[in-house]
Amino acid sequence: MITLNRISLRYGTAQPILKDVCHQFDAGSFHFLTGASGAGKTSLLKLLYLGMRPTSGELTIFDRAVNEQSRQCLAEMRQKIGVVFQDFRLIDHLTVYDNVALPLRVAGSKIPALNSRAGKGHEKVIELLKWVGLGEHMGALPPTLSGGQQQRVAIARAIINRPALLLADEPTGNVDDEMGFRLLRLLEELNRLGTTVVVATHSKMILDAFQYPTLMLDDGNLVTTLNPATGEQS
Amino acid sequence: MTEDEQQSENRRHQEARNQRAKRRIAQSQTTDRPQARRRPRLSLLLWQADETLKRQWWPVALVSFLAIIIILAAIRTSEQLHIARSQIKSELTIQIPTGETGIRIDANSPLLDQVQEILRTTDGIKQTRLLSFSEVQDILRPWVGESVDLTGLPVPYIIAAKRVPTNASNSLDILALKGQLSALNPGIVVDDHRATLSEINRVIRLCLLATAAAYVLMIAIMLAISFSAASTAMHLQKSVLDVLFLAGASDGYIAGQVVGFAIDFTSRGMLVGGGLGIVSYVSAMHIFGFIAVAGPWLSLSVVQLLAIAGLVAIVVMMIAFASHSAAIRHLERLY
Repeated sequence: MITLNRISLRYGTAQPILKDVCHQFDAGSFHFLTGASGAGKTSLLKLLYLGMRPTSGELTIFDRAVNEQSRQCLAEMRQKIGVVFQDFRLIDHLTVYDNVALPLRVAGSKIPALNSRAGKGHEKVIELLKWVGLGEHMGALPPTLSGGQQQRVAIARAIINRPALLLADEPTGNVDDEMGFRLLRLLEELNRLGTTVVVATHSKMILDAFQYPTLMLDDGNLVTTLNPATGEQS
Repeated sequence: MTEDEQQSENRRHQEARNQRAKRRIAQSQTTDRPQARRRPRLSLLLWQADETLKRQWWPVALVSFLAIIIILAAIRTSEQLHIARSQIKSELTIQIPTGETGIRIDANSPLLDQVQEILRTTDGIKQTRLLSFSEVQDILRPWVGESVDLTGLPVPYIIAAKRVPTNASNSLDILALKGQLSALNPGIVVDDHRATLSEINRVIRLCLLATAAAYVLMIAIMLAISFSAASTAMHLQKSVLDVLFLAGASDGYIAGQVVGFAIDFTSRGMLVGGGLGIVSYVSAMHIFGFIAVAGPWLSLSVVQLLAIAGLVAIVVMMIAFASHSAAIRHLERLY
């Protein structure tokens, strides 16, 4: 699904953030991405959600070479990628329902407002919000919700388009441990439904609790790949 | 405040927030508003949360107000000048000196009869009329002042002669007429007002130029405002742009939202400013009595109305183009 072949990334003339990173993410896999602050986790995720192009190397996502795609094509590819951030990035003046419906509207679906009796398309949003446990908060504005609830809204928004790839950047950073585990279980469930998941985290507790392959970045280098299931290190 | 009290206060705030959210859900599930209000417009995402952006239509309204006043006044002036031009074009005046003081204008005069006879038989003159003494007084007052008693002055007779519409067969030969009248009395003056006519034409051209300049200025200011507002909107609402970007919105889609925002606030500004401008203009015309003097406050033909609609459409298209360009440039720099 994703192939990174000797990927390097630098901002302007500064030192490279990522250096010769090589890896392959198979469809339906679940990976953790870890490393110290500044190691390049967020930059790698930014490449994966097509927020920028690599400075050198070959990045292939959904069998398409990213460097050869037009901005329009990248936008279309981005519709198949869901992203969750530590700071949620919700639009505060839109209701939970409208925040979650936004990707569908961007993709061209005519999603009626929550209170509208005309039109179709409510169901998908409402079902998903119920699934993430926010059925009672559809009309609420994000600032009135707790951190865990806001993160679940962000996850719902990220998966409403049924993305093939879900990227999460420190999704548990702003929630307590219990909520962090619940969110990870939600991501596991999505992975079981076929979504490829990459979670960037530096939480040792989470890495220990969930037995999935872990990529470790150190100063822009992908230094180790741990596979807890097999105990292999490469 | 103790820690317990603080916690209790926080719980109360949280409960209040929850109650408000629940009320909103209940309201959203029961309220039956018209469909047009229910569909959220994505273009509003860019500005509805920001007080600065909400007021972007104010400068547009101000510019529209000034522009509409200038344009209406120029059209009005131009119309009045056209009326004056057509009157002057179709009329000439003949001054016949009396040579006597204190003579009554309506007194019998053989010279007057002779002049009128010549005018009646001259090709190109449709009708003649001897102005009354009070009409002549009105004409002379600005020159001699209010305090002067005109009955003691050698006030000339004045004949207003209406010309037939000009064509080749019966056009008026002013030089021949002047010659005939000079032969009667060298003091007779024929005013054909052609110099005034060219002056009026010059003023009409100036009016049109002023209107065009006001319109161009308005477009330039509107473009500057919409370009700057689009850039400001995107700077201030970068978080919204990030969300749209991550949701897979293309540059064209995001630019479309920005254009929607720009057209929304400029239309609002133009409607409010233009409307207030029209109301102010009509009120001013009433207050200063121009309507009573000169008939309808403004009469626009279908062609003029279509031209105005076309100009408004051009403004809207240029605003769309400016804001679209601003958005695309901003997005290419940003992502």
